[in-house]
Amino acid sequence: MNFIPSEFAIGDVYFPPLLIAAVLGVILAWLTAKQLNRYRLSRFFFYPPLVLLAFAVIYTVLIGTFVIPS
Amino acid sequence: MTTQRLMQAISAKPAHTSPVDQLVALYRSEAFRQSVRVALAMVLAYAISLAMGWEKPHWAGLAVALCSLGSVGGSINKGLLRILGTALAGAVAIALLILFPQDRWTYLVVATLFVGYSAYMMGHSSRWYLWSIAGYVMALLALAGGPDGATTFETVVLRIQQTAMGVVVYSLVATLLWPRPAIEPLMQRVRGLVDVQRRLIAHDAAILMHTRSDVDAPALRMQATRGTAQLPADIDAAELDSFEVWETRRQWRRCVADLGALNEALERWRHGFPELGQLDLERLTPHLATLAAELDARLAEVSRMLGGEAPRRGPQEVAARLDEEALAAMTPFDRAALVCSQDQLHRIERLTRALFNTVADIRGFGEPTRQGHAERRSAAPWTLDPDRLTAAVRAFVAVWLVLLACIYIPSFPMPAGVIPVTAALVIQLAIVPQLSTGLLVAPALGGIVVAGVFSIFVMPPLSSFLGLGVAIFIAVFLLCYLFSKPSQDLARSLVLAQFVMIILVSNEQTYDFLYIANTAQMWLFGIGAVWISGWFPISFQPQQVVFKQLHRFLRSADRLMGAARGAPGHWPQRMALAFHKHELTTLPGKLDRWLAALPAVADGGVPREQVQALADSLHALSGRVRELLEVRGAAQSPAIVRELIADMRAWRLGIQEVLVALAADPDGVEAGRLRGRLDAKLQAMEARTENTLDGAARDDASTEELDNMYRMLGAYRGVSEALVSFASQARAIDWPRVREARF
Repeated sequence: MNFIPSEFAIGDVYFPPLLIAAVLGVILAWLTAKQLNRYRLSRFFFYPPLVLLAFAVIYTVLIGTFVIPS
Repeated sequence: MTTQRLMQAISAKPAHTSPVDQLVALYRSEAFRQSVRVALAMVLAYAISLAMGWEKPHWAGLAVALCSLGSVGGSINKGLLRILGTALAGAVAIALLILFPQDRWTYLVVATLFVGYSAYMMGHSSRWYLWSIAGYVMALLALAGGPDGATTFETVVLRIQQTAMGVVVYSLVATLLWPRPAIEPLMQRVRGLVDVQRRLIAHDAAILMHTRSDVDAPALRMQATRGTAQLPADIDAAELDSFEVWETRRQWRRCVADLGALNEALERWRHGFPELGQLDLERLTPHLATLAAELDARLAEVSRMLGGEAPRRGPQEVAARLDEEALAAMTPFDRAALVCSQDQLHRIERLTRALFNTVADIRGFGEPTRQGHAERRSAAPWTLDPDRLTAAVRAFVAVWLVLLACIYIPSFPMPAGVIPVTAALVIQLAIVPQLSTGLLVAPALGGIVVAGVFSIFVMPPLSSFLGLGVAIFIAVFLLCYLFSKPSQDLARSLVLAQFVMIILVSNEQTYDFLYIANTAQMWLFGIGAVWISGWFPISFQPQQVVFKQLHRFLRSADRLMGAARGAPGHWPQRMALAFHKHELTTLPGKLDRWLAALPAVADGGVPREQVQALADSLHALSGRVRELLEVRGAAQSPAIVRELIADMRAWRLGIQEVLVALAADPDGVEAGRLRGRLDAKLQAMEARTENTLDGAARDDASTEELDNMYRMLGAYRGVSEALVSFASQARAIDWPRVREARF
């Protein structure tokens, strides 16, 4: 199985797949953080900024691997 | 969306107005005129720069975009600060190059220290824009001079030349096209402020006289505080485009100082009302209604003079008639409360009189005045401000983060851009540190998208400057009109700056999508570095800052309470005293902003009303402690002091103990128990004071010394009451929830 995502073409402009995955990953991590703040679940984390970065990385890897077609 | 707003602006008028009337109304609107001014100045700046064959015309466009304010004077003032800031930045960039040509790390450390110093100086005065420019332009010029700095001098000269040209062009356009002198907004603001204070005096007097007042006092107080803070910048602007203001600039500054002092005196007067609640003031102070009417009439005349009309009457004397018989029958603490309230009222009377005379002098209706009533700020010794220092540390860290990324990450995008961008953002945040970094993303990226579309789809088919000029005019006009509200100033500046930086007009125009994509990345990296510096090494999260500032405030109050009475001693003691006074005076205002930045209930935070009540109680405590410090310096009767000193000392130590406990844990002191302790102390002190005054000590004391003793008693009681109120408001807040770790 090939896990390497292919390039993204928007209007004939080619974007690296990692850029798209990273942008979506950061947006999803930010939305998750907003919800965790809202429902007061953020208090269970020791250091939230690192958790936010971790979320961004996890989402980026997941989107890059499973959402962006290879 | 912009078209929609234009249509809304036209269709928002009553249905019976004709389309011609609607167009005339649009033409007369300030938003329309300002948008035309900026767009025209931008096109002219580009035209001159391109015609002269100068490099980097976008620097002139940037000066127009960032210095274009509503009034002529405001724009000239900002433009001059931009030019001076650029010159300072250029001098520093060249000096660093001369001093450390071969020492890369020393050069970087000193350069970033200058960026940090600029961030520190942002809070110094109303001329903060100079430091904002100096800090980031220094980084920009140092990098634009090339890796060996060979062209730094030429770059500095070019930057100053383009900036000066942009400023001159906008100033000329603003002066010739629908000129709007800065004296108009200045007069409007001062008149508005005088009116607000007039209504507040009437409201406060109505409370004391138990009559009805429908005024929204909290909103008025907020208006007064904001208006007073904005006035110095208005005067800076007005003195540049109005000879009338320039000639009387000293009187204007005195007027602003008096308005600020009047604001504070009104607050202190109001804070004493709870202690007056039990007293029959109509009998004790029969002159109160007359004095309130006189103050009202006096401020009405001030407002009249500001409108250009001669005053119908001058300030009248109102004799303070206290009912001596009733005073003698009062308890010492009631009498103390009355004396303190009368002192504040006298201060208000003196300040309004000084304000009347100053305004009469400014408008040419009276004799020249030498001085106002407010204390001069410059008389206070220099002190270090910890919050400005943290802003400087943040700037230093943010710039180092991108510097290290540029040095150690291969192919890091646009190092020559990302470092100045980061410096500009982090220095700007020094004056609004409570602003969430995430809020910068939308205007930054929005501006890049708009400018990117313009650059890719609109610019390539254009073949002459006529076409380019018309296109730039339309785009800049629409952007300015879309962001024309005063609350959108920051967003407008960001979007216009992005527009100018992305289209990058030049005589040999090139179009490169990669440049736009890299600029977007560059901004995101810059914002990311600023975001990280908001967490590390010093947290700028509101829930953390509020605790730290509360702790500092209470510790400073404790130190000031414990400071020895009389001469402040040697230099270190004087500096420490000045530092704690500065903390006590400035922290309530800072805490207002940080408390307002705490998350709302909907986001898992605490109710806004509780937070506001806590902020009010902090202002009251600050005012009361400062009042006590002022009273402690007054002459006292040695005989009375001998009798009361042990009790007063015990009382002071009790207050200090509570302050220390609250500093350690705002939730740790139960207000009910504190109230019980205070009541017991008041009873004991009352008995002791009555005994003392019944004895021989009273005969030894002069009237002034007796009044000073009452002032001291009133001030101690005031601090205690304010402390109980603060403890009770702090107790109402769910602190564990405030302290919760958040993203």
